[in-house]
Amino acid sequence: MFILRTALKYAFSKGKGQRTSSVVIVLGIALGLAALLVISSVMNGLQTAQLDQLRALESFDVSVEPSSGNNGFSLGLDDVSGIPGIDFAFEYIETYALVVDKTSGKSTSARVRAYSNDAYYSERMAQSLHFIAGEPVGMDGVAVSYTMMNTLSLHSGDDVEVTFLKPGRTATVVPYSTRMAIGALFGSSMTEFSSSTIFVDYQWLLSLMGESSVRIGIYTQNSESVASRIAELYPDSKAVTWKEYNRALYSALMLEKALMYIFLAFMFLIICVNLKNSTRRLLRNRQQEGAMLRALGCTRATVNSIFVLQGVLVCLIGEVIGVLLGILAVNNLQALLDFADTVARFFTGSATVLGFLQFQANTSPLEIMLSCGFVFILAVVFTYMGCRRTYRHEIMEVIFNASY
Amino acid sequence: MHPTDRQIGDHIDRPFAKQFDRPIQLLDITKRFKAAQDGEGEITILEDVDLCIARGESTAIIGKSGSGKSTLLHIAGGLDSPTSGKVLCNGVDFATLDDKRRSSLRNLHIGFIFQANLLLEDFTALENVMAPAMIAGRTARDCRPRALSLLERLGLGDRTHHLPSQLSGGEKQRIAICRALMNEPDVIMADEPTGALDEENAQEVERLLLDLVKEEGRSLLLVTHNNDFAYRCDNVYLLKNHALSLEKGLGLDV
Repeated sequence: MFILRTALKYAFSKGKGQRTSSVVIVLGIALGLAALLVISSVMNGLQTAQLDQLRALESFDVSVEPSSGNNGFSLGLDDVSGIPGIDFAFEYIETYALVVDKTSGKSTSARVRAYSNDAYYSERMAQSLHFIAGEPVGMDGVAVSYTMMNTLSLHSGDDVEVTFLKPGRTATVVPYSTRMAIGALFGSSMTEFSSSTIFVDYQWLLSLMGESSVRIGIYTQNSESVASRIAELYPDSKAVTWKEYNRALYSALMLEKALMYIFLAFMFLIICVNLKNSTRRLLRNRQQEGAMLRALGCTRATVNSIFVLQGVLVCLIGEVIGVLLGILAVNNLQALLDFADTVARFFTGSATVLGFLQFQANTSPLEIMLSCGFVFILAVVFTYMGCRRTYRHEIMEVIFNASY
Repeated sequence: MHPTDRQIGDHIDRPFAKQFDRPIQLLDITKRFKAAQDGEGEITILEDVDLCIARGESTAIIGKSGSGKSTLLHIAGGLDSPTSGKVLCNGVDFATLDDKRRSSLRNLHIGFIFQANLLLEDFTALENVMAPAMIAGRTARDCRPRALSLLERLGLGDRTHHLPSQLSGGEKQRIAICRALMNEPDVIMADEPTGALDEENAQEVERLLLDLVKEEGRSLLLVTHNNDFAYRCDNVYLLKNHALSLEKGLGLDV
């Protein structure tokens, strides 16, 4: 009881500049933790958004290539749909083509995709793929993105020559050229996808490429288990998860994440240095009183406990404020960016990039807990080490000597 | 006779301490300091000093500044360690005790009063007085009556809830006296208790200290520059050339 009572008195005492020191420590920890939280949330958000888009547009959660044999296809859409854990499944065809604008003479290679009818309107797809003009279903012609229109200097209603590679009778693939009108215009949240992809009608492409080119795209929350279940039920088919499909990019993102943690570790280091110096300052303020408590009969352990508890109280308050501040900042990130833009505009007189930034922050409770836990442990360790260093001397030495 | 762990610093076994008519004994105490932080030479402060404090008697040590009076007092109270020699508190050698037992012995059997009163700045007068009892594990409710009674006796009844920063030097020193007496220690050790006070306050504190120590039946070990104050004690020793010489009283052989 005496320990707690004394630690509480010392933590925010008015005397000897103690309150100022404590407030500085609280602010240091709070701002450091809040910054840590905001940066990690924004980085996590960016990565999650990027991966979500990849999964929605590029690779889907799982992509299945049914093998064809003498008895037809090893599995169909109905078979797949019955597997537990699948949110949505659809058929699609993917091939490659050369798109040429005869008027301007410009050309580009493109990935040609066609989805079975309802896929375009599924929730996940519709969030990332938007048809600005025209409809993808029953389309007469080809759907291109604004990016590709710019690349080829196309205008609405223009024709393009599309050369497909289709399965041949004697050769594996043979070229097939046709003129197609621009029947629809789409946009997506992934620039790379938009600039390299065109859509055509599913039935038309099916008749050109044949049934053997049909794949099944799956949206699921648990891609690994669905893929392994398909592999188990239909060993002849080939199920590829989004991680396998985007292996190179996924590895790069993981590397980016690792680098982010290294960067955050440096921030953490700054908090540590602040914490070490601050706890030392707190101890120095109380050095004489600590020795006095020992003269009155407190053991070293009791004095250490008082000061460690004092440090812990100050640290906990800093952590609580830091986490609340961080969460508040994360939840109002857009407002903060707008405010920063207004301030920057006030000084520069022109619009800044801050006004156009769109961040999707993703706060991880585990990361918050880990950060708080580390700060807490460090506060205890630094205070304890400081106490040990200070009070290893004889009591009178500590009372009469200014600082250790 | 060697005390058991329980006997050291335990309220229940106070009668054990009473068996010793010499609560503090210093045997062949030598204290040397290094000349400088990284220096090789040593400065001798005390050399083979013997001293006995008798139960219920007051003993003063006088001497020039820097003669080692305070160092001797700190060693006697277990606040500093001698380079060689033994300090016995109720027959127990401080050097043989671990930190816990040493602290407990200091808490229950010795009360300290320093020149710079060294009160706990964030504690009120009452809390300062109660601190030694609370360190001993007693609750605030338990020790409040004695603390209040001590403060009343020293004329501080209306100052119980004041912080040290709100008190005068004389009042602070009186609180330090109350605090030293709180756990009913065998010995009060006072290091220049009136050194920082004006004459009027100094005389008041001297009178209160000597009277209270007599009333409570405690021993007093006093270090002072003030010869008048010192010679009002039962025994007076002069510390000169690293050794003690008896100036007044009978003294005690170790």
